[in-house]
Amino acid sequence: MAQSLDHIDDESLMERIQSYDHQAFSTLVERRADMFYAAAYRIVMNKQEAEDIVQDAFLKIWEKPKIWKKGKAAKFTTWFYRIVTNMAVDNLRRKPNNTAIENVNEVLKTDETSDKNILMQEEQQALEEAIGNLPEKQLLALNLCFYEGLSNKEAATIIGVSVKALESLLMRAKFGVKDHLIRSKVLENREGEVA
Amino acid sequence: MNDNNDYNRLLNERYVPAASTNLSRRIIRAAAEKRKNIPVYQRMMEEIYMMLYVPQPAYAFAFMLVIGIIIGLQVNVDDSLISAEDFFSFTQLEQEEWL
Repeated sequence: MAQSLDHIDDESLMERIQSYDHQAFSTLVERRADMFYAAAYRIVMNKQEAEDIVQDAFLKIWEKPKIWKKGKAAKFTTWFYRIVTNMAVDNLRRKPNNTAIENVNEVLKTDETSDKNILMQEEQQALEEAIGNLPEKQLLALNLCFYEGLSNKEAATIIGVSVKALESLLMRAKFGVKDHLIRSKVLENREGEVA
Repeated sequence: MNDNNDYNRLLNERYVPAASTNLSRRIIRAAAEKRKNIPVYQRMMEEIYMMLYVPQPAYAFAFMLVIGIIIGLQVNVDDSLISAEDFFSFTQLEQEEWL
């Protein structure tokens, strides 16, 4: 009977994967696939593409496990965020503008059809439009720091900028999104409702 | 204040559709298939490579240096050079030729 590897940390699993241990690979995938899917989705805003990106990223480490160097990359998740993020950004660059936002609209329309959710749908649509219109680095800064909960240092390493530059990107991203929401009357509408 | 609260709430409620329930299984299966498609000789080479211990260059250099010093100290220098007698006869010959 195969021994459970659930208690083993990601870095040790990667070491086992370097010896082509399929059980270690399965454990890592089951543990992290959803998390990295969400990260990819927040960039490409398309479910199928996000799943394909995560699959390709995991297959990359399965086929070439030596690309993981324990000494150089402190944490597996930080290192893997960089791989997934790069692949998602490459995917985004290949697409014409606004495709991502159209994708979001489709998902929102198909998943949320109840009348009660109309306001929420409008808000989400405006939010996705606002985030989708951000420049690439601002989008990454917002996703990694705000949604993925990475530290500024980790996010800065992944994006390839200094911590100060990252803080500036994050601030501009939040301001840009807020500005878009105010212009699209989403925030004002809510204020009116509260009043 | 409401504006900021609403804004933060909106950001926090950003919608991400759940991944397909079989995503993990799909990835694991695809990885297993990839492994099957690798030719036998390549898999064998990989396994041999995994068994080999490849030292880092600095350690290999230090090891070779130590081995070199040990071998160097064990070599008897007198045996390898020309003997004193041969040397004497050679210089003698030289002198005779001159005379």
